[in-house]
Amino acid sequence: MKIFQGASTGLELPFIARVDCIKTDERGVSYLVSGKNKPALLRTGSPVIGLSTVGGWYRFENIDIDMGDIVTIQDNGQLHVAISSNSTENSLLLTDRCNHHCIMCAQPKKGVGGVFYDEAIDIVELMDFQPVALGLTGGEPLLYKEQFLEFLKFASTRLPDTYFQLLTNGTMLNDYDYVKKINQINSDINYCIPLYADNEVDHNMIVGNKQAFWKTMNGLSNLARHNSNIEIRNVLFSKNISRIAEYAEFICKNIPFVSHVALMGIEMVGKASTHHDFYIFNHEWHKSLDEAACALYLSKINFSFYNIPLCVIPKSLHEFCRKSISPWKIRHIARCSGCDFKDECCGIFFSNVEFHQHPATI
Amino acid sequence: MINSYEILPFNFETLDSNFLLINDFGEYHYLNSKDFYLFSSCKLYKQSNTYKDLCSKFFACDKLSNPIINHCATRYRTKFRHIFEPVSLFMLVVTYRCNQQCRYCHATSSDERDTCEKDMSLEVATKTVQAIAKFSTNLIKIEFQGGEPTLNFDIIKHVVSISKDILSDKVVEFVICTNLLHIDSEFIEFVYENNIIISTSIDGDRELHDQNRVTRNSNGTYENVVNNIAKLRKRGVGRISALLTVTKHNLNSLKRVIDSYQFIGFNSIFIREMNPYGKAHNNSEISYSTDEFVSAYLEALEYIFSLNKDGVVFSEEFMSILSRKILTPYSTGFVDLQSPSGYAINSLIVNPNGDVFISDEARMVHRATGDDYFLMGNVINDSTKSWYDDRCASHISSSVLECIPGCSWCAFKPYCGVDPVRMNYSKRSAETHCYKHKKIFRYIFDRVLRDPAKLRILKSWAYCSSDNLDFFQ
Repeated sequence: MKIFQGASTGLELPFIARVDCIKTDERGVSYLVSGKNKPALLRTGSPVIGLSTVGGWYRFENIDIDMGDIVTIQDNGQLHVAISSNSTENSLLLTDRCNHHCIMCAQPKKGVGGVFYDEAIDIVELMDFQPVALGLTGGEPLLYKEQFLEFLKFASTRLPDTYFQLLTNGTMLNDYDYVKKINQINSDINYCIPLYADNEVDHNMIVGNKQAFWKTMNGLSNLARHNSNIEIRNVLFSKNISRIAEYAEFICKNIPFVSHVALMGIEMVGKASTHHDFYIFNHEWHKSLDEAACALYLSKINFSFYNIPLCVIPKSLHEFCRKSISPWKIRHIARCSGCDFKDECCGIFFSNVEFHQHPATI
Repeated sequence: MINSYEILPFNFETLDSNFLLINDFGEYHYLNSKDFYLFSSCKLYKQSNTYKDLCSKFFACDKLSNPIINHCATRYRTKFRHIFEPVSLFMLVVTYRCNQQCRYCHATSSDERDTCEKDMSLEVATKTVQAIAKFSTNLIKIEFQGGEPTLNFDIIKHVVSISKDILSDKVVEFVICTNLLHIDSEFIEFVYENNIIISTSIDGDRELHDQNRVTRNSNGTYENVVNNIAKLRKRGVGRISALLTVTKHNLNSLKRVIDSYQFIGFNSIFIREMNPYGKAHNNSEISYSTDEFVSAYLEALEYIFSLNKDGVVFSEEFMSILSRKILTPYSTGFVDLQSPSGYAINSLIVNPNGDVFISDEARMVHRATGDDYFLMGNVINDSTKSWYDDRCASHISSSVLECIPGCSWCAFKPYCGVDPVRMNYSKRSAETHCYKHKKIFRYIFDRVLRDPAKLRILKSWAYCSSDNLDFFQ
């Protein structure tokens, strides 16, 4: 999500608006934005750069927004492009509070966090197009069960053609009746649920919650009973890589009904940034990764590797690697310029550059 | 206590100085004796990989809870899915007549020049298909047997034709079990048009095959079979499989047999022990002991593994079925080795006169001895409902392994099953059945699953086997 810094005066925050009109003249670019009941004018160029509305004013340095974008101005002065009309990867943050405390969380909440279901409804209300897909994220988006249902009802009605991808740890889905309620509102949601191990000891340690594993497993079972579309996600790092083959076997035997398994390389950001030992990509794990892939392949369960440069994954598994890192997060190192696979490779995640050492030469 | 955990139910075997644990839905794990004693006295360290392995495979858990119990129930139902499935395999014996006189024939077939009056009639065939329509399963296999079923080709055509109408709401697969001695272009076209699966018998190369599989005039049949397979393939018939009957003559030449299968172009073989019925009963010229069979079978498997390691794609069907039972969470459609037995509840066989039996063997016993203990009823005279009476129920319940002493605490129970007919026919059968299967299971767990290369080969067979009941219950 694009974020720009600025300062506001007298504006009722959060200020949510849609970009309706863009005009360029000799003084710069003007954007007319429509909020809920309030239009406002955003100016770049001279003499003044900022947003003015009745009684309020927002000043910023530079901005990059398009027609149809939904922008929000936050308490802290930031302008977020909440929905980008020409992006394929929009998602709405419903809350940044969470009932898990994953030791490698890439986006830990700031302070006490906040609850944004109402804001999300306002954003959806302003949208003038239906994105193909829309992510619903957090924290844990189902943490406030009733508010989520209210949001889902509104969004599903407003955006009937949009495919919602709900990123949830699944513990709240432990309640069969709640799963039923969600399904009655929208039976076509893609549930992206993390499972970090094949056993409760490791998984619960990683997420910092003593009953997480079986709550999530029960949630998966409840979803399966509703024929839901499920993607399992795992982040591969030092705490779970040694059992990756057993993890794959566990999926094949216990939750073979999932549509896809996403095996993601760790991003050394957020909580992970202080744990340098978390990063594990080197030859040591080639055999385990190969075994894991073999198990999933034979069971005909779709799987992909994300965020893992091709030089540190066995060649036989390259066909399962996806180029998935957002372009502005990709880095390359000196060695990459001579690499034959540079075009197919997802590159190195910006936060991982210093850890990407001793890769195998392809 | 922080390091406390709960032990979930399992059975076990000893393998040298190690322990092999197997639970009720087929998960298995090896433990050395030190870990086994630690585990069973609740002293295993919970941060150890061993404990995590045991949790992952449902031998242990931190604390028993409803989600865990529900999940185990799901695994159990999935493993025993066949119990929930109605009958899906219907075998139709369309004639007793045969154009061969194989020396070990267990079907006590009659001469092909015999009167056709005893062949399956239009009335019986029609009534059979109408009865099949009453079963609620959606995926059906109809298998034509004999004698030699091609001698009553008219009835096969009739059944296939009326099935399109009467069984239109189901997916039906047809199989013809034929010796492929004499087939014409009409037959080949028919097989191709209706996508029929051909199952034939090949006992090895020409010399081995013609030892026992001969015509009335003691002429060999190998040439015909191989030529007819070629004709079928040329027309585009894709699904042809062969099984092997092991006799004293080819018992010690299984490697040669496997090579001959490859030569003909098969990539799998079903190595089948001779049934002790009909001509094979107490026939010292062609029979052998169970021990001899198992040794030869396991040696043949080792050869097949070595072929696979060299990149040859070749599997053995019985081992594929066992590997599916052991390595996947699913059940199989192999009615001969289920608990309760798949006979009657998953498969049925119909005689030319419409008599319905629980299995092929039951029918053969009846034909040989007149024993009607496993006769369920008749398609013409009785309603399908009446086929399933108290006697039938007692066959089924007596074949539940949990109710058989010895079986109920056997570690290999989730993979095994009994044949109620065999048990009834010969008292020694129970012992040899157990002996044979235990020996094969021990071989798998001792010599195959702990070898990574062989395990991978077995896994590929497990997930590619043709009987796919891939539903998670």
